[in-house]
Amino acid sequence: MSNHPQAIQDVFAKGITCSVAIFLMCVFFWLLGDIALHGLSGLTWEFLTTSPMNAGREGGIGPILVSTLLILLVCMTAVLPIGLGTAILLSEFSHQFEWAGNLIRRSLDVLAGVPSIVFGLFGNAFFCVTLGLGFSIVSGGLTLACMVLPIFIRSTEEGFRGLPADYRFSTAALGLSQTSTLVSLLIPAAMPALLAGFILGLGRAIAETAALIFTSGYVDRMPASLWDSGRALSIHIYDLSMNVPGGDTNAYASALVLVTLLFMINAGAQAIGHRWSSKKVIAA
Amino acid sequence: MSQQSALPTPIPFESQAAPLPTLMSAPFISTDNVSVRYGSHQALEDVSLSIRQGGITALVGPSGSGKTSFLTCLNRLTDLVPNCQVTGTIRFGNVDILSPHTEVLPLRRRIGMIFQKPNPFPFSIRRNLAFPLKEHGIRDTATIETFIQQTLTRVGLWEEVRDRLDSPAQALSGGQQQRLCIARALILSPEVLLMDEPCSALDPLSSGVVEDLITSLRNRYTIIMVTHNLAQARRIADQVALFWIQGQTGTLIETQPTRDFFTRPQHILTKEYIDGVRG
Amino acid sequence: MIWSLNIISSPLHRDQLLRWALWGCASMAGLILVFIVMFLVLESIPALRHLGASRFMLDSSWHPVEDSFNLLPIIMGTLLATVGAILLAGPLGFCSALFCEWYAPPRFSSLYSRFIELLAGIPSVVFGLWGLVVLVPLINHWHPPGASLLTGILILALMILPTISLLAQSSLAQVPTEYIRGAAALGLGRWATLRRVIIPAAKSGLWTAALLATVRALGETMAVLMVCGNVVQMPSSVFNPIRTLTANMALEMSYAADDHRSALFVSGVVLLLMVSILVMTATWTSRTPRHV
Repeated sequence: MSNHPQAIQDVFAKGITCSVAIFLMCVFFWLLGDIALHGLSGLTWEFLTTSPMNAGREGGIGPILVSTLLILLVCMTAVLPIGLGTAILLSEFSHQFEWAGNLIRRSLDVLAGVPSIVFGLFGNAFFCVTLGLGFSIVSGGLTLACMVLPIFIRSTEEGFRGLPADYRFSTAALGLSQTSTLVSLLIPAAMPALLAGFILGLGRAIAETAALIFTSGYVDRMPASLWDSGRALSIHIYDLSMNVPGGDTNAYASALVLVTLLFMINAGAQAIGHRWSSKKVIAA
Repeated sequence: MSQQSALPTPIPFESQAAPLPTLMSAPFISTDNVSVRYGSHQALEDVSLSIRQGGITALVGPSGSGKTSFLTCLNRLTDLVPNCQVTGTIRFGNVDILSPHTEVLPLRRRIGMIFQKPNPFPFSIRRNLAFPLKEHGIRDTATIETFIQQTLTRVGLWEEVRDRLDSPAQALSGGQQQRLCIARALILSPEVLLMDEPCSALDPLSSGVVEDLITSLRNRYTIIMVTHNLAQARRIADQVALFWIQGQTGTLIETQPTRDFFTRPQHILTKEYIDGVRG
Repeated sequence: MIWSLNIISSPLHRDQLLRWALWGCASMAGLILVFIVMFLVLESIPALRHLGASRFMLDSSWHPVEDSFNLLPIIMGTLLATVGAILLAGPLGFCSALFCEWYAPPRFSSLYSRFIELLAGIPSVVFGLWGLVVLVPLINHWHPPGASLLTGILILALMILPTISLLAQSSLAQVPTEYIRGAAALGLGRWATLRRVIIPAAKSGLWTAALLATVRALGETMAVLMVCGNVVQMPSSVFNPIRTLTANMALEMSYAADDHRSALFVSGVVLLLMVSILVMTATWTSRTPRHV
């Protein structure tokens, strides 16, 4: 049968694809394994709670974890209302001014691709200098918020668009206002997509370095307030590996902490994805 | 500017439809030259139709003839459709429905709507009914519970669901869901019910139950119902209006009381439609 | 009388307020890009005025201390690293997507897919750390110095691979099953079906994947900063160290003053332009109807 050349092609193709996949898995396991191996030894309770000493070669990352948490808090606090509002507008209310809605969407698309260093420069020029916030956790958090917004808005808008159009018609037919429809029906129904976007944004924020170098600063002691400078975990890793000779051990341990946090965030996102398909009733 | 109206004052009968042989009842809802346009597409042209208070009016005709467009004008649901323009006059008692001064939310409380596909909210049965009440200002729990029981009894669901009012409404069967949607509309004490093919998404058994319910609502409410089912219109309607597509646009061909519509149709299209030759 | 009813008329005060609030939020979100462009351009004007645009291309090299502002070697560094990365990661990521969507047993496929999602979230500093401590000495062993264009390409490729794999996988998954069934009915083998039917149908999605990955590679800062060596020069071989636009900005911004700082913002504008063009193209390709 003339199937023969096809059969050979099929085997060949399958072989190549599978080898590539295996090769990639090996490389990534190599990378992750390397991090885990070198980082595990430094991962102690003291490491997580004490302050860095000797430029970070010794001591721990306690204050750094606190700074990171605060920066994330500022970031997500800014992202949630603005992102939710924009997503709702784009999916529910922009029909009358379609051109404006499209303009905003395009602008967010480009924003999603802007390099993080550019965000860093912008954050520096706008938040630190023009708004006078200086090198602070607030500056860093707000700069990160600008980066996270496109991701969050995209996911949330999709969530709203996925809701049955019937909902708006049936609430309107009952004479209910749009505000009540949103608050009591649409937002709770779109919650899974909202949470997914939130978590994706969180993951992006925690991994960010370049945007924070020029906005939240380098200081590695415990921040006194939100207006104080603080060092994020990713910056600490960068500093230890590039600027501090002998800082490799702690750099690895910090990297392990960061990757673990990300894995937990990712696991959370996938768990929510599971709940999404089985969620039926929104409690009163 | 609240436009609460009691019974409408009697107005001379419009002669668009064939003259009623018996009662000369005042039109409750009257439409004059109503046209609906979606963007560049003219969906409905020049419909003038009068509807009596009480009784069931059936809107029949092939798909795309503008029946649903007409229906959604009556409670201003066309506002939700982007690029939709409605021209003409629609009077409901002494309320000018299409006027921008008319408060739409109170209007929609007086004119309720039931959709083709049953669409209960993703709440419990109780909350599906309590939610509209609360939003319209009734907060007292005892009152709400009373209304819920009364309305569920009215639609014949009370015995079936009284033990599981807190279970999800979307777990009910299709027919039960549709009756729940009717209950949800009824709980606001409307005067008019608009129904867009309420039985077409249901199995024959449930369809029969819902149809019986609709018939029982006849005297208390004015019902305007779009249906594809001529036999159903014949069974339960008091007045039938035929819509048809001409070119790309829907228009009203004829409207008569049911018996006359089926025995003495005035328009050739009507006769052909009834005989099953067309449509 | 014509009542134009495309105004969502809601007499309640609340709804009106709500709409205002929502438009406010959306304007803030939409204005961010405008602000970024504005600040970049404003800050880069002094350099363009004092130095003139031609000096960014004709000076001897990039050496701001010695009044030299030629961006070309740095732009070249960025382009070479990015193009190299996409040439490497493109086919590999595509194979990975094919494996996941087409050749892997179902349970393994979902595990693999989740693993790739995990990898897509690994921070650039972690890639940079590994590149610095493991890859650079390795390549140094092969051909000194270790920190070079090649290392940059390898690390970048690794970073954008998961993105390409995930995006390509989703566009492969969106090919209608009717096409596949049709091909099977015609007696086509798996590879032939892939080559002749699936890939052409998923073409626009694959292009979009490649473009978005390029955007990511273009904008990458930390990893290239840590492994490329950061020497300003036109590389004559892949083993030469190079510097990218992003690394340049990150390194020099902290101590740059006046014209130097302004010149760095000029490089920021250049980067933003490249990214915008790519994103716009990606938006366009993702909308192109699939004609097989």
